[in-house]
Amino acid sequence: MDKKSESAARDLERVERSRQGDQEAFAELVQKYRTRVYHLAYGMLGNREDALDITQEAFLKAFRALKGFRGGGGFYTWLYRIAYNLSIDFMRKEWRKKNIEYQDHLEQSDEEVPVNLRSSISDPGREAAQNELKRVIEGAIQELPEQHRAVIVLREIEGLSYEEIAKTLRIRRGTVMSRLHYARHRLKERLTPYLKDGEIYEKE
Amino acid sequence: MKRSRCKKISRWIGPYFDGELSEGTRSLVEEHLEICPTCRLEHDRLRQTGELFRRGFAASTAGEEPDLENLSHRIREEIRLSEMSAKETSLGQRFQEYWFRGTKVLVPSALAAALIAVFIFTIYKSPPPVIERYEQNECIIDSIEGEKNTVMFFKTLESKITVIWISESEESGGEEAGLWQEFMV
Repeated sequence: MDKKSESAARDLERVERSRQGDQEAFAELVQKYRTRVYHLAYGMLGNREDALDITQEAFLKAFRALKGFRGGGGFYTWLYRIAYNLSIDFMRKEWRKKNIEYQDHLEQSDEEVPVNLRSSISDPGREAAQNELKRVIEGAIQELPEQHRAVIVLREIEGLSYEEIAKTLRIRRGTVMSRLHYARHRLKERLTPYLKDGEIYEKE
Repeated sequence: MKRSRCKKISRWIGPYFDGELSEGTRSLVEEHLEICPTCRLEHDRLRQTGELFRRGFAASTAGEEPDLENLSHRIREEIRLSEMSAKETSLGQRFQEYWFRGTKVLVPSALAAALIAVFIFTIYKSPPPVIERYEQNECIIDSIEGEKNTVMFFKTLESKITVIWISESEESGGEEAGLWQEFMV
């Protein structure tokens, strides 16, 4: 058995034990996937507090819904899907308000002179460069439509295959590819000022 | 370099990079990349964009471990509590059904346990005036209302506890009162 199927088999075993009331088994699943769920939620929502809330909700919801879990596609795609749906629901409620606030924030900062990252390699400047990068990435993500956000996070951060992404989001493989293509295109546009001649700004 | 060829290939650079191409398409793209600097640059930009994205994302989510640790505890606690109360309800119900034998009284399970441990009772039938007598001298220290029955606990002058049970049964057309033995507490 390769690593991935071994891991999946262990998950299913824990799911079974959890179903029978073994809370320890579920705690192991939480431990294993909490960072990944958090990353997805953060990618969707763009802030720490909301992402933590959604992460918590996702696991609680998963626990209550264990009986309905069928096992096709692996536990984590099912779990990610729960987190994704919760994020979407949350955003539909909160998004309008947040979007307006964030758009204002973006408009203001566009007038600032962007930091020349190549000259910020020394330590005190590095933090500034780091923050700049954070800001640009966060802005880029927030600009993307919801489903594109999920695709790029699941691909670039979680390293899911197209197949796994398709299963998680219940879309076709072709859709995964086109959304990824678009998201990467937008990201690249945003980041091009920070790429010089094929080199990233910092060499470590 | 033929632009049309590049256009065709450029769609596949992403999937090529992600390792998602079938062998045939993969080698086609690879061959083209070897001879086309434009597409090669495209490929490099893709790689760098991904790396920068991960770096920025990591910076944004850095320091999440302590928060996630707290989260794990909270999740654990929530599950533990919800499972416990689910168990308690069913245990409590079984307890009550056994001891109250046919009368269905909904009581908080802790109180039910205390009652069962302490009380011995026999049931008399008294006319309603019994209740009035008690109302003059005593006070109700507790009462439990169930779906069909109400149980009231009265404190007497000598610090005895009397339990009065009232049930509304449809057959008798109204209220029946019963009196349980007084005892010292």
